[in-house]
Amino acid sequence: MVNSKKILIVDDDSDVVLFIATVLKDNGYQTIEAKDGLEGLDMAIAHHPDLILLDLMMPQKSGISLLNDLKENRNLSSIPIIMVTGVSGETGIDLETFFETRAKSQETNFSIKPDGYLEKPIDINKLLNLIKESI
Amino acid sequence: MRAYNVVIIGGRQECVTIMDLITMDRLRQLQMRLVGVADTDPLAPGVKKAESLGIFTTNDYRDLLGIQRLDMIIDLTGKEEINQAIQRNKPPRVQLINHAVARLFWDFLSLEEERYHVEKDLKKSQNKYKHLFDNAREGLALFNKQGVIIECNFSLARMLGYSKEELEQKKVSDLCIKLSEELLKCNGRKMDEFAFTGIEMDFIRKDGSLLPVELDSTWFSDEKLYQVMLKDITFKKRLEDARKNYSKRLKKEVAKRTGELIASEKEMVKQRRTAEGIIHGSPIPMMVLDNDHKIIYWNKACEELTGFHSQDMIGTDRQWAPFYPKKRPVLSDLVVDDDKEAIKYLYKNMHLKKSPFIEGAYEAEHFFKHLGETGTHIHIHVTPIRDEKGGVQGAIVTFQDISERVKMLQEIKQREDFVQNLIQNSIDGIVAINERGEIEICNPGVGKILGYDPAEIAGKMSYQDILSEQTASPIKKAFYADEFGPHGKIVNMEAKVPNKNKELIPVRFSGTLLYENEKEIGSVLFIQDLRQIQQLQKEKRQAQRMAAIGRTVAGLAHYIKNILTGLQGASYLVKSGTTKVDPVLIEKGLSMMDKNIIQINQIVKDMLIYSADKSPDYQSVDPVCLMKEVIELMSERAKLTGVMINFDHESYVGEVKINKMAMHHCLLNILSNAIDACTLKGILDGQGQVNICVDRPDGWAVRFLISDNGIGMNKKIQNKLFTDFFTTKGYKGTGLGLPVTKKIVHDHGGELTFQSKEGSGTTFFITLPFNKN
Repeated sequence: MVNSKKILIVDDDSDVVLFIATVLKDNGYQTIEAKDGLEGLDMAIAHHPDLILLDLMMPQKSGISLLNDLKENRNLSSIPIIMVTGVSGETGIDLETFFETRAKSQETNFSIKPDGYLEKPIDINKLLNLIKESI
Repeated sequence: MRAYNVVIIGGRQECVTIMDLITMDRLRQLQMRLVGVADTDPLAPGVKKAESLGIFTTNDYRDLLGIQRLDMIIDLTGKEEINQAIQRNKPPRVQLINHAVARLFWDFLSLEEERYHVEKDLKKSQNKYKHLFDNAREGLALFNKQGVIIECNFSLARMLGYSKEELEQKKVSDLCIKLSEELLKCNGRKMDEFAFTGIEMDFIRKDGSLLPVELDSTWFSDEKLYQVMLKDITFKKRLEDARKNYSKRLKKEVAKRTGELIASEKEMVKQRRTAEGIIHGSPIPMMVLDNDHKIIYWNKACEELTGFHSQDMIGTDRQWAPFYPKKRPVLSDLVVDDDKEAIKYLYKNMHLKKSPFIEGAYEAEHFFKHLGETGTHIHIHVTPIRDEKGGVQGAIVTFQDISERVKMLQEIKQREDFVQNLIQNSIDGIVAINERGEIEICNPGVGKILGYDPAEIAGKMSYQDILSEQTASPIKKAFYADEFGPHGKIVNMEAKVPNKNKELIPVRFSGTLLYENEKEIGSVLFIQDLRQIQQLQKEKRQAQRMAAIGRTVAGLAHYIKNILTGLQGASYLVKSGTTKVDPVLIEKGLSMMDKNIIQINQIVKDMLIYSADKSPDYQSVDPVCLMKEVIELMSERAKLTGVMINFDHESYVGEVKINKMAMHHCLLNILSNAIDACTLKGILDGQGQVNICVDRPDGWAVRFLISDNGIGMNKKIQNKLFTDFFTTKGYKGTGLGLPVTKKIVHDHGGELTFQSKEGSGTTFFITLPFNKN
């Protein structure tokens, strides 16, 4: 394989994980997978991936909570994170707006935001471009 | 007889004295003539005097011895040898008088001089007396012991009408009986006692009339004469009689007046006390001014009203003090002054009125901002106090604190304005009807609803005219019946009323009968235009439906997105598997596709149930059997996730009439949630338990109880539990499960409740009633 970049996929939907993992492997990436936020944090610490694809809504520990933990961890804060979600502007919540609003109204540590956004259903080309730009 | 010539030897002071005696005119009868004076000292006083009188002087006495016809030598030297020398040398018939003899001579001369003076004075006095006697204004008479008048003056003669001569020789007994009696009393015995003053008696005049006199009498023992002095007291007597008479009358009058005065004063004191008592004890604040503008009374109520103590007010003219910051005349001052112009000018803005009851009394009302903490409204009544001639002698002032009344009036006014405003501006029509059914009040709202000008209605149209006979009589009935609210009221009675153009307008009536002293005096009717309300209701329903559609679409979009993601993934896997000739990947892709198709099926079913508006299709079902079926269906999934399901039920629950399919869906939904709750807890893997019970509590047909020991829910989640499309399960939840369940249970007339504690688990209860159908 030409590309040996390691990408962590965190999503509670095993079908989504399988789909994304297949796409990434087909494009020469290595993948590791976690089914919720807690497992995602463990995997990130253990494997120090090159990029993390993070689902927003998950049991145990939500995507936002994990994002905060990762960005506040000095060893992990440099890892680019792309948030993947079914919630978008169309359904009333715009993630980008959400993070910007939060950054403006809250303390410094809440200026944390992901490096990219990706909406479900997943546009494969958009996914691959985002990853390429981020790494 | 020739003069007796004398010389003096020795010119000292004695010489001067003897010289004076000899040379004085009045001793001229002595016939002595000083012809020379000798002294060795030419400055001796005797020498000087002699020189001034032109008498011969010498410093040698022997010069004197030779004077011719010398009769006497007076030697005043007191020196024996000189005396002897003179004795030897003097001619023989000249007498020598020495110093001692000269002294005797001098004494004799002095006595002579004195006698002369006394005689002269006596003469003078006699003249004076005579003059006085004759000319005195009083009548004077001298009479002897026999009572015969010896002498009288002109005044007496005139008083008694006699001539002086006639009167002299008259006897006292002819003139005055009383005086002659007095005279007899003391005659011959105590003459001295016939001395009195100021005795009044009557004398008889010549013409026989009586003369009242005041008589003083004196006994001159030397002359053995009485003197009487008479004063004519006719006038005095007359005056006195008149005075006596007058004083007698006066006394009587005074006694009478005094009696009256005492009585009236007593009455006055009594009245004053009563007045004082009334004023002081009166609950009405009262003040009395005198005509000097001084406060006479300031009663207790007045103290309470003003906070000014009577001790500080009475006797002063500070009546302005409680009301104004600086001195100015108050109404009472102006009434005391009777200054009508000033009253009009100063009180024109204070609701000034003339009292309708009392002439000259005034009333005024004003807000005094300095009285009391926040100012006080005072009604003032000032009545003048008049004396019998109508003059103003003071003023009685009463004050009344009308703050409460003013406040109430203001409130009433405000309320009236408010009500009037409300009536005028209400969109609802408001009609007030009197007991004869005539419309008295009709607001613009009525006009708007029924198309009339309010002016056409009020006072011109009756109840029936505008409401139509068909509506008016049911309204009348409704007031007295209980169908629309209690007796005397109408609440929300809907009807159709023709407007001016005879179009029927849907309206809603509310109203109330009006009573005064339990007598019906009319009614008020509120007319609500339902056209607008109906329109609004329609709009509201539409808006609600739109909101529901919006929510549904949003929820659906989310769910469909998840399914789409799944289908997209499945499609990619199949493609990728085909390219790589990987049968496993193709198989996974196809299975993922099937799963998503099932999910589409599920949501379509849920939505159909949720949106169905028809009543449930009931059939007799054994709830225990139904529960068992559901458990059976979920057992595989429970086994896979390591969750234990325990089922317990009462021995006999009995069949219930329910929609079996719908209830099956509900129970499946809740059991599925319970298993998910255990699975989501994760750490409890293999220990998850769901306990199910079916029983029949009192009053209910059946109760399903599904309890898990899963993750439980916090308050935030609990509050949103039945919200459409709310899910905690990410991609798996449609967010319609519990809303659908709730709808089904409610369609059955039952209840869906739950208890939950975060981290400990949740219990759901579905309780269904006996079906009435």
